Amino acid sequence: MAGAASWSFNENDFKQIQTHLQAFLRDSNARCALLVDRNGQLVATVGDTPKFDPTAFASLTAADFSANDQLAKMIGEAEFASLVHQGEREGGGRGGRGGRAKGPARRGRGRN
Amino acid sequence: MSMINYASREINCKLVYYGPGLGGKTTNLEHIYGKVSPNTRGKMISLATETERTLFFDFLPVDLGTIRGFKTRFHLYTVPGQVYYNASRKLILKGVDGIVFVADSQIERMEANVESMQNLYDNMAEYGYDLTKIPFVIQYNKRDLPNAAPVKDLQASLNPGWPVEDATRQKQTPDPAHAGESLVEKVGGEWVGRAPYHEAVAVRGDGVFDTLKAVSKSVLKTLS
Repeated sequence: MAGAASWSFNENDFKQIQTHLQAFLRDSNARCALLVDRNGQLVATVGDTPKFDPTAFASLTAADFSANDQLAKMIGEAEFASLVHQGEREGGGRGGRGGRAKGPARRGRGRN
Repeated sequence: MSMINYASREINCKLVYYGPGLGGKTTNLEHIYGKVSPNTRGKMISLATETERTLFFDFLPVDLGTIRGFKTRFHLYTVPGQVYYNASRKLILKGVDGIVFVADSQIERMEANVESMQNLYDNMAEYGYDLTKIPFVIQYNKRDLPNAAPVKDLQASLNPGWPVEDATRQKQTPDPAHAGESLVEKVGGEWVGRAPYHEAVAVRGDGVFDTLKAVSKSVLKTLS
């Protein structure tokens, strides 16, 4: 492979992604869910409109995820299947799916 | 890995600024951030140490116009230049669409430039990417310094050329940025290709947008 392949999705793909993400949002009882690819590109957002910069958030999420992936390997784990961040008011959980994408879900206080 | 979203009519691409420590990668991004209209850029994120050396990366999303109705958004990243941060450098290269190598023109930094270029080849090879086949531009920075090496010496060390085996590319290709020079030419019976290069003084902004324009144009060409 010469370089990284590109991937694309059309209107129907996008609708399906959003349907799945909506279901995930309901199941997780979170306020907002972002789907981010491993390279830090934001694929889709559902739920409350984020009050933060979602592009920067996506990039940092991918970096954090990749760094944790390497940390897991260093201690002999295949991966950390999920990561949870909890702040005073906001928190979030993130999970990898099939080694390709992940969905950070943002939760309010007391709902984790 | 560029992402084309037909639903929102957006193309997202990832550009990485690579090179030795203190070479001017972050300065390139800061200049772009300062010059681009706030409407067409996102927030610049820097993961730096207390002494403001890049620890993980700097990140800047920039919109570079519309092509056939698609909004093109480039995500600009720098890597930490210091040798010991290779783990994070490698992570940032994942899914890259185009690379800018920011070389420090000072004679004293020649060894650091060569080491960083080798490191780039090695890290790309580990992902299975071929640096000679993806959009790649070299920037010779700090051209204003009295101890800057001549461009031909920098070219000989960092951009000596690679064999061009693809018959469709074996044709004399002039370098649009440098009259009388070629990006692909026959040398001693062999076809040789070189990366386009630009001279820069990033602290003043000279050459910064020429470099960005060259690499982004090349990335968009690969998508069309």
